[in-house]
Parts: sequence; C-alpha cells; structure tokens
Amino acid sequence: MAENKAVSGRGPGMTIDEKLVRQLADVLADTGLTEIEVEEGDRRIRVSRAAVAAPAQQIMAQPMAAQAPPPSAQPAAPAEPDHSNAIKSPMVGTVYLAPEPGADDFVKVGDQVKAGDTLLIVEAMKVMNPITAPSAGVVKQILVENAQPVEFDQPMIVVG
Amino acid sequence: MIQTVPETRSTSADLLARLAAGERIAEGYWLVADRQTGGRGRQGRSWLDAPGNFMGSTVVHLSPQDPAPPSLSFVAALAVYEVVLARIGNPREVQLKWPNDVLLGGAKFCGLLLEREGGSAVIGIGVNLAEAPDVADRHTRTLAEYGPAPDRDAFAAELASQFDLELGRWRQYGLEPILSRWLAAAHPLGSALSVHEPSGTRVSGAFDGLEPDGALRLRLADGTVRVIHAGDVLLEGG
Repeated sequence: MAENKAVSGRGPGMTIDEKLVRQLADVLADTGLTEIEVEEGDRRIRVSRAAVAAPAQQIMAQPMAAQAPPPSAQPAAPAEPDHSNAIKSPMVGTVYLAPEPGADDFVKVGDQVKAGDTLLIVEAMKVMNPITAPSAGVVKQILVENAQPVEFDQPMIVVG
Repeated sequence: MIQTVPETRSTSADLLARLAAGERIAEGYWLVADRQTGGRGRQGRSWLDAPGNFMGSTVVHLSPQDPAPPSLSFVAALAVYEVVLARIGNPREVQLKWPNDVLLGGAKFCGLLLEREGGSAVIGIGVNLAEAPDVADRHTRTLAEYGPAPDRDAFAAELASQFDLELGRWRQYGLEPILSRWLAAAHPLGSALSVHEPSGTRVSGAFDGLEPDGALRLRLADGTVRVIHAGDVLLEGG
C-alpha cells in the first residue's frame, strides 16, 4: 500500500514521525477514506492515497509501455463500436423503421420489447421481411435509417 | 383448397394474423375474398378492388433447403404470367417487370405483395379480371379488355395450380431456371428503366439482367452497373 500514499509534512525542523504516518495509513485503510490530515502545534501531517487501485496499475504498466510496444498494442484510433450483440440483416435489401410511410416507427430507443415483436422490416425483391426481437429487452440503439440499403449481416438494432 | 369469403379487410393480413397466432396452414390453401376493404400494396399503398376481380393469398412454409426466400417474388410472378398468357395467347401483350410485376399491354393489371411471418411467407395477389379501378397517374388494365372477363373461381383454381407447379420447380431445380424464364418474359435487355429507390433517389439506366439472387442490374450512363434489391421500377416510355 505504500506506493498509494503520499506523505507531506510542514513545519520548521520537523522530523518525520514514521510511526504516526503508519498509524494514519492504517486508519485510511480501515475507514476507506482517501485523505487524513492531523495537526498538532506547529506540526501537520497529511496522508492521502489516490482513488483505489487504479494508480497502482498505471505505475506497473508504465515501464512496460516505455519499452518498444508490439505493433498491436499501439493505441488505436477510437475503437469501432461493439455491435456484436446487434441484430443483423439476414439479407441484402432496404430497411424500413415503420410499417408504412408516415406511420409511427415500430420501436424507438428506450422501448421495452418482448420476444417476437417487430423491430423493423427489410425489403428485398418486394418481399417484406419483418425483423423481430429474439428475446425480451430494451431497444438500446438503432443503427440504421429508414429506407437505407442494408448489406447481409449488417448490424441494424441493439436490444439488450 | 380454396376458401372464399364475401368480404375481409385483406386476405394477406388475415393469413399473417392466423400464422402469428400459431395456426398451421397447409401449403396449397388459398383465402380468396369477393371484396377487400383494406387491400394493401407495397409501402402502405392500397390495392383497389372491384367486383369480379381476383384477390387472394396463400402460404409457403420455408425450409433451409429452399432457394433464398426473396426469390419467391419471381415464382409468384411466373405463376400469374403463365395463367394470364394462357388466356391472352399473344406473348407480346404480357410482360414481366422487376421484380414481380406482370404488365398487360404495358400497363398494370395485377399486384403482388409477399410478406414473411416467421418461417413462412404469405403471398398476396390481386388481378383485375373484370374491372380496372381508377388509379391516379397510372394507366391500369383488365383482362376483360381482351375478351370475356374470366370467371373468378376458375381463375383462382388455375392460379393455385400454377403456383403449386412453380413452387415445386423452385424447390426441385433451384432459382436459376426460374430466373431464365423470368428474363425471357421480361422487357428486353437494354430497355430504359428508371428506379425510384426507397430513399427517394431516382436512377435511370439500361436493363442489364439479373444478379444470381434476382437483384436488378441497371447499367448507368457512365457504364457502371448499379445492383438494386428494392425499389419501384418504371419502364421508360412504357
């Protein structure tokens, strides 16, 4: 835990009371506080620790990062959003969010749906294919716009 | 088996609701209505009926061995085409337009809409046998312009039989021969087409045949080919 703590003291001719610091550190650990400051006469001791364990990981990671990182470990541009759990188009076609032009969309973000509810329609060759919710959940994200073309396996909507 | 009812909102909506409720409807069953109060077309359009016209829907249960379900559009179009051609005689008068329009003398006289419900598809077909309802900005025709109006029940029986035949071919021989026959009955290669895409854009070009899955190939002025999976196709000058 020592690496989590910073010790600062202030006062003329002050000598560090290591025992007191350790005691305060124990209080920190016991109480879950992040900082304690005690003052006695012209002597003041503050013991603090950074939030939980994350700094320790940073300290450990830094020396490794300083070495030549493997190419795959290079910080990348913002990662592609994870659509692995999105419902994907079963075919090439055109997606419709509403049953017909001017009608309300089948669902909107935040809607509660149950298994089998129609979420949108994909049209291919004048065949209308309703895309239904595989299980109950909440519509998290709609990744397509009305009347846009969709490719096979293209993520369209996220229900979680 | 063909069941006839005097009136319903939409034969397709009825079958979709029955399937959704878990009813097992056998292939070969047709629901035919004398009148529809809410006949539907693509993208919320209505299908206008008239006394003596055919309006009916049937069911196909899809299996993983079947060709891709969207290609059922071509199966249904060929069924209508063959039944109508047998009555008209002159192949010049009957023409297919992508993907499942059948034109009579270059004008619309029938409408097909296919909708999936789980592992099944409902195929709705309307054919102007006796009357061509007035549709704004659109020239419509009826088979009655070519002779006595066909009897609705006789037409229904012929269509049910032909659809069953085409469905069997689709399953047994696959999509390729279906598309070859479709191409032979469609507007010729090179025909000027314009396509209203669902996004609102309109593209014009020359008909360049079909992709193996049935998608429309449109050759644009710059020589590139646009592949279209959904849209309203208009025959320029047609």
